[in-house]
Amino acid sequence: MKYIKFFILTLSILLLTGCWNYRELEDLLIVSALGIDSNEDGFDISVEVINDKMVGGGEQSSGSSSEETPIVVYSSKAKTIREAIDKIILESPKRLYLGHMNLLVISEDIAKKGINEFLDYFMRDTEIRKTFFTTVVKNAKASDVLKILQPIENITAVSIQSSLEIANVYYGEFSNQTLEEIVRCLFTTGRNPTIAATEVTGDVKKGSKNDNVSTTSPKTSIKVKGTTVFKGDKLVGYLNEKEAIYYAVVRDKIDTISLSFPCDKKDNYANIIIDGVKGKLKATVDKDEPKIAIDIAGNAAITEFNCKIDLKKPSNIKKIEEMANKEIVKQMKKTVKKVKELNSDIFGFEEQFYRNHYKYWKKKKDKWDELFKDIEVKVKSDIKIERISSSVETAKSR
Amino acid sequence: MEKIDINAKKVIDKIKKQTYNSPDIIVKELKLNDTEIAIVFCESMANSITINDFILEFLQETKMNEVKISNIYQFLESNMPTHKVIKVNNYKDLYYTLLSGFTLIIINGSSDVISIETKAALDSGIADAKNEKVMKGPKDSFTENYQTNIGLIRKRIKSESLRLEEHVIGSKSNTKVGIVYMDGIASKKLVDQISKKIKNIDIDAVFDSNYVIETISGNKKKTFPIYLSTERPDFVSINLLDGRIAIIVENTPYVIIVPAVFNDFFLSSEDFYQKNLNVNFTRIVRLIALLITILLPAIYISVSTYNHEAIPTNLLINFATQRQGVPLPTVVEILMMMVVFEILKETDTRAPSAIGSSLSIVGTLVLGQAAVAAGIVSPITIIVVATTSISGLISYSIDVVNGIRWWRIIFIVLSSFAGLYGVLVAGLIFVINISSIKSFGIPYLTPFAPFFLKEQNNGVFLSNKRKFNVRSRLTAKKDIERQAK
Repeated sequence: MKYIKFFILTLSILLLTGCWNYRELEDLLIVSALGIDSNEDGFDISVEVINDKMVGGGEQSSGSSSEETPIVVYSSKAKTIREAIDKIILESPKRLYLGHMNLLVISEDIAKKGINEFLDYFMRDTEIRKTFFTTVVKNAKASDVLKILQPIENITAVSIQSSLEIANVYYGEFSNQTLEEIVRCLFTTGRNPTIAATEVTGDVKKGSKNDNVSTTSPKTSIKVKGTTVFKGDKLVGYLNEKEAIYYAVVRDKIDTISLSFPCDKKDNYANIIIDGVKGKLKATVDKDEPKIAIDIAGNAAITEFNCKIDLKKPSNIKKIEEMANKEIVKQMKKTVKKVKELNSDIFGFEEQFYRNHYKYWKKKKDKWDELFKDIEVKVKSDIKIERISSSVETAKSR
Repeated sequence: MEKIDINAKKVIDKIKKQTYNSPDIIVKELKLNDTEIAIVFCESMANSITINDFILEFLQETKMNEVKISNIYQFLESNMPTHKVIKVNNYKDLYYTLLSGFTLIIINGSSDVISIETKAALDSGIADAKNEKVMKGPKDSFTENYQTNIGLIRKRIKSESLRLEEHVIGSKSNTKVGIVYMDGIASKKLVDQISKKIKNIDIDAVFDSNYVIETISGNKKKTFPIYLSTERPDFVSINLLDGRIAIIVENTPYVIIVPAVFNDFFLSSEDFYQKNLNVNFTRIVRLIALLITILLPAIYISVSTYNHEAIPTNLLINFATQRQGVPLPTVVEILMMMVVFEILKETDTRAPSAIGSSLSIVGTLVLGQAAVAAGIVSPITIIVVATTSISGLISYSIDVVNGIRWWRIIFIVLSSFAGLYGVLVAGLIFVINISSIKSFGIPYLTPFAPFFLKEQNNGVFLSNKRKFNVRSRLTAKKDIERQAK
């Protein structure tokens, strides 16, 4: 009797749950990326699945021909994303598995229409992770980008994803990489989202063949290209790589910046690496006028110096510091100006007022778009040069 | 009890009748001072050199010198040149001593029989420990000889407080069972309790210490043992000084130590002979191995059939590639390889050492190469099963290793029904089951559950203090400090 009770109890904890989802690995097609293109009626979906016969390490199972590509792209059209994915099953030999989707590629035209059209499915689906990367492709269809074969990293989605990750570390291209962050941004008062932008160079058709990876310089490639600026859920413009850095500085999402600036009047340049970059936003209200102060701080090391200045003198270092700070302020102002022209508050100026000057924000919230265009922004940069690296002399001083 | 007859002839006839004229029962009759005496011994158990050199020679000399003796029994008892003379006055003792290798001298007209110790050495002698190897530390191990085993312990603890209680159990085998403990450290209550239980054992024969412990522990349904079984005298001595009780059974080189908790099976006497820092590293490794051996196959089945989202993409792709073209479900594959490994382990243990090497070659080829090449199993399964099986051998105790084997299968089965959730459920059952065990009054998971702060010095880590200064408070009832102030 005791054993029957025990058996029934054990069985019930196993059977009375919702997790009944047995799938052997060989019955699944692992989806690495999903692309969305616009279509007159509904969505144009393309999924990139991993041909694991060609990818995994170790002994490759017999019967795989080297002619096969490491990835396969399936496409379909439907009114909803789920329906489109379900249609793909008719074509693919196995079930699609979305749990390891790493990348969502959005085409420019659907981004202009608004990403809210399709975001719900990705937020709601239980299988999909909420941490996949997102990118807007500038000059091609999303389905084409997924098809381009890349050398070094076999799977296109992983290749794009790691370029985005690396770009984020060194260029701070975009603060909103993952779906989670984009959604959070969309639900935040007073800040607009940005999504990384990518660009295709070369012929898309040729890029989808194995020939593209059997050469030392692939003719078709995918490049990370600055960041997009959204207003609400609609794409309104782009920032280039340099501007993206300063955007990241304001959002305090970047740690290291490499900065080149002129060090004399004769068009000679120097380069410094700034570590521990800190960007600080401060909102104040002065006579009913909103004001923003951006403070930038960090420690720098000289990495390249092409001017005829004696680095042994501390006073000269001070001068170089000034030059660098001047450059930063100049670039920052340029970026702010550009963003103001696009009229999308990606910096979160409004958020600062919403948090720190709530009454003022409540009074002005309907007219914020106009206020943003004319808001006064003060930029202060306080970069300290602490190291001059391995050489005291400069090459040009001789 | 049947008294011994006065007439020597009658006694000899009875012995012959009872033993059905067994050819190894030797009877030699002679006359001393006109009294008939008979020497009876069991040839297979007794040492004939001793009998010839001392007993027969002494009797011969006495006869030659024509010594006048008034009472032959008293004369022989006091003058026989031997260290151990026992007076036997009933048939039960007579058979016991005779069949233990004693030589009997039956004297006509006396109701007492003289029994002289002439045992032959019938054991394998003290050799290196075979199953509980250490890199550093004493190498000797227990033998089948009861007295030698006690000697090996006494050699280490030359103290008058080392107590030995002896019982003879088994109505046919008449096996000696000794309870050894330290007086003033061990709990006297537990000693009495065990002693009473051993006395009450009613069985015809005892061939191994396991017979004794299984009867007295009353722990038949649990998978894990509640006693330590060791062949190392130094390990027994360490535990005796901790207040534990050792049970030595005649004819078996395995001595039992009680009580024992789960943690004890992952310690080794070597831990006490090495530097602490290094010991603790080893202990962490053992802990990891324990987790691996229970969990690894279950987790692998879970992540490859239910919870694909729980592992990194690259690993999943790798798994998927390995699974290409494998016809069986993952769980069947794992269970199949487990069975193959168990078969290999079993045959390797039983097979004569001459065949052993060819067995392992075939085993490696079949397991490691051919199965994969034929596409029957995926390479990752081999890795999982191999790692699991190797990790499964961390405990020196075969009882624990086999106990873990059951749990591994329970984990595998539940994970094949419900993935990681099943692993969780199996984990719950495991914890409930193991925490319900008690070893002679001590909860099995001490010192972790219930948690004893002071006992943590020999919990996961061994502290220097525990090693040299204090005894375990769980088992030692008195005299906790080991160093004199």
